[in-house]
Amino acid sequence: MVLGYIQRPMEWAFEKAELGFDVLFGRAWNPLFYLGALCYFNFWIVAASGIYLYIVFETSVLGAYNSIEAITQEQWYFGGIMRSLHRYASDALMLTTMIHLLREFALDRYRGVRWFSWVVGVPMLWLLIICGINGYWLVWDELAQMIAVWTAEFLDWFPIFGEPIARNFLTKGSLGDRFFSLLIFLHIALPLILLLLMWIHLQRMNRARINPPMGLAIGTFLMLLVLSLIYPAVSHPQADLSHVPEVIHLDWFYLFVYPMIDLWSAGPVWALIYGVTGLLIVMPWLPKEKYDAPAVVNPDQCNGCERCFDDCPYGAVIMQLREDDSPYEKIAVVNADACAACGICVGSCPTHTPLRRGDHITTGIDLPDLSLHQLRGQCVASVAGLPDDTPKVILFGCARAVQVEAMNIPGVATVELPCTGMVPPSLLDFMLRRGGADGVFLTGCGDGECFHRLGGRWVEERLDGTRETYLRTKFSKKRIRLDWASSADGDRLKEDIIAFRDSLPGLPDESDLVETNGVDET
Amino acid sequence: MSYRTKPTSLGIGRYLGQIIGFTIFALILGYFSASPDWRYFPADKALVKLSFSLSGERKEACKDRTAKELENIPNSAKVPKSCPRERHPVRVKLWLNDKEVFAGEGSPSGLSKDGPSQFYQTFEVPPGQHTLKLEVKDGGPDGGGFEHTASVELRPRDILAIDLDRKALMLGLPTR
Repeated sequence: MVLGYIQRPMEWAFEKAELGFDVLFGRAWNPLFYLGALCYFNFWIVAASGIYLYIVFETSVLGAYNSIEAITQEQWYFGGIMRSLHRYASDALMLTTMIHLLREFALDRYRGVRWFSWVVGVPMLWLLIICGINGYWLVWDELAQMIAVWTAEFLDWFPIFGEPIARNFLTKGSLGDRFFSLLIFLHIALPLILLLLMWIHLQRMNRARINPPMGLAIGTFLMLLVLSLIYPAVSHPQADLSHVPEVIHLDWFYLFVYPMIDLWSAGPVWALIYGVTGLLIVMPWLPKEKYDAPAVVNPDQCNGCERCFDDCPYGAVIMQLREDDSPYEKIAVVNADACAACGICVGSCPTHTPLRRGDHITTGIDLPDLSLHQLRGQCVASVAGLPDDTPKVILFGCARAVQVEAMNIPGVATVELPCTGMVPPSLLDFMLRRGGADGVFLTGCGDGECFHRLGGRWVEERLDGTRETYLRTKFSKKRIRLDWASSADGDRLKEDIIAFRDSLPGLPDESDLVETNGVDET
Repeated sequence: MSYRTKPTSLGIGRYLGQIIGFTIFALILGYFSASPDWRYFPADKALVKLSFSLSGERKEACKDRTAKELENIPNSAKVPKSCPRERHPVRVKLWLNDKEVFAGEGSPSGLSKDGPSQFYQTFEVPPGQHTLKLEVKDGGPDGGGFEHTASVELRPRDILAIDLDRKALMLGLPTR
């Protein structure tokens, strides 16, 4: 597929960039992991600064320019900063939106269950651009004049408006004060519609992050503030419909389409806009993402604890009141259309805890194509096939990160999962106590970059003991290692796995803990 | 967290890293928010805009309805004259300094083709003294029309708007 050829180098570039940002910002504040949240954050700065600008803005032909000039020149210490923040946060919003879009495409996070967010994002993108253009129009300087005339001529290319819109900008007298009342109304209404779409955009994402970490937020705001002080936003000379502006200082984040109109004329640009929009909308089905069979609930085992409901990254699990004679009040129900078969619900289900060696495992919620029973069998068989002269490590990897099955490290058995979040802590317990492993190594795409959004976060919290289901082993924590790595970080990961394997013989023999402190398996 | 491999960290240098990262971001924002410049219009040209809205003559003249025709019309619409709505297209020619720069035809707007014809054209011209002649035919192929002539002086980047108020010439020029 053609898109794949574009995607792969972009994916490589993004993963390398993430490693670079990990070093610069630290993993917890890596801005590439919070692009959506940064969009929200910039939106709030734009909204807050916009409220002040609205208060001082005069909705008239002369007043529009003069009121903005007054705060820029005479009130630079506050009004000017607010204006600059409004501009630069808008530009930052556009920039983070574009990087967000490109990253989601590059990392293949726009198909399958994500189609809804992607498709809703398309009108959001155009609406954001229109909001930006609308904002520049309000200043009524030469830039606004150019935008007004160009936009009108661009819209007039479709002869559906009766009288050409461009006639409204024919002479000085053509334009009335009411025009600016209309513009300011649009500049409030359109961002509100955008905010509504931003909310709809996340409706099929459980626990979407809409706030960046505090440090990243403070850093972003300070960056915008310093930029506003050093390089404040200023106006062009006042608009004059009897003179043509000669040179325009364009904001390329929002106004990039105008030079295209200038170079190619309106028709080809309309064709490009429709073409890009159409392509973006159909992309999730080029081709359609194919998943394994969706998760299924075993009514006999489900106790309605809501952990799968809570942990599902796509809101595919809903809780319903039971109508059978079960003592439990609720039962989990899977919305197959929203299920990506990531298995995170399996990792969250407590009904199979603890795992036993001989029994057939039945769990409250399971993947038909890779049941927990099959997974346990696969783990035991893999470890059993390892030679006895080296420590035995079982390596759990995620299909969307480093391909662990291709690593071929002596003494390391690999199991690739749809998401590392599928591993229940009870399976780690089991592999150390009964499964023959000396150590367990977990990797995958971690929190922030996790393909299935929340898998990495839940694994960390489960191992930390801050999220059910808990790890119950009494073995040394040194026998379990968690190490996130993207595809671009494979070499470093391999070194870490070898170092972990080699560290295992030095650990004290704690097998007696199984006897003295082992969990009750009766 | 004890399970985790410690991620690469610059320690105190991390703050320097963030300053570098944010500075790069700020430079991108600051530069592309107003650069590079776009040359919108040549400095040594003026702009002429020909734009007006004019209704062509009716294609058919009004005629008196016969008594029989009036009988078949509801009372609320019973008017003695019948006036077909469709209008002629308007044909326009513009000469600047005796050179034809535009010739075009504007169809009447509206589903019934009874609305005004619309024109909007722009031309770049050199600055200086210009004589313009505007010829408008609004009465069909054999019908009548009117014409206007005027002389204007344009400076670089001036906009001359040629408009019509009904059939009267309206020139929009910069105030000197």
